[in-house]
Amino acid sequence: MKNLLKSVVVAIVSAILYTSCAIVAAPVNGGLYGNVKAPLAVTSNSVGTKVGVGTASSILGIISSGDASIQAAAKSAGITKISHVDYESTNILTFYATFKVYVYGE
Amino acid sequence: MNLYKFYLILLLISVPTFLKAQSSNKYVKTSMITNGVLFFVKPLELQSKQANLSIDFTYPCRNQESDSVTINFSLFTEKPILQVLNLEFASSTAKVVTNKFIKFFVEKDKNKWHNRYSSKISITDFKKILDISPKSNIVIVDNYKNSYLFETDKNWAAMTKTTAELILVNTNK
Repeated sequence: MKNLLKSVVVAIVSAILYTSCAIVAAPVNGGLYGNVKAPLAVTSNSVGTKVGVGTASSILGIISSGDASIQAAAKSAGITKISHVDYESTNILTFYATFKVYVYGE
Repeated sequence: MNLYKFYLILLLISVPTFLKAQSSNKYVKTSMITNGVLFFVKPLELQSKQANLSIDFTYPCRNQESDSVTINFSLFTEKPILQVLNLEFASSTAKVVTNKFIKFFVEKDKNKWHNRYSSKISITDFKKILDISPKSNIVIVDNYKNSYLFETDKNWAAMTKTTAELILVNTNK
């Protein structure tokens, strides 16, 4: 009975880890935990003092929602001239992942 | 070692790694700008019975008297808000009020109205907000005199503490 229970636990964890993964774009990946910031775009405009954020998230790779577009992030801070765009991706044990876009400009 | 133990060890190792990573700049993002530092307090979400609030602060610090802080906030409500009259940060000991707003947009997002507004406050007022005791309220009043009350939470208290520290160590302000 104990062996059967262990097998079931291993099967469930394996299934979650290998089939239902919340995967998020990142320059380097962390299987257990990842929190990575990286550049997405840059323009010739001087560095701006306004910041807008757009976020999208995923649970188990099954449910995902949000708007992490540059347009949405710029709109949220009233930015009309973009200087650069960074992103931050986070994943926790592949169960939960977020992708945030930071738009800088004026 | 069987697979079961392997997964257990893997999970135990991951917990402190995750906790350590969470503490680094969870609330504030800093970057260099011409003649100064830009502090961006990431959006924090607060909830009440009538509405949900997402609020962020941007502080371009150039060590000038005229330094100001931009407050951008989204109110998610049942009905659209055509105009915001007041935004108030208050505790039993201090109060900061702003009443000049720029409307970014008001749009319907699924079942709720997304009302996005912006305002500016002085750095002195921003420091008052950061110094306000952990238990404080944010009150937003619209043009129909509807009042939206949000009680700050643990995240808010951690944000104010982190932001105040970061500003102090980076600018001596």
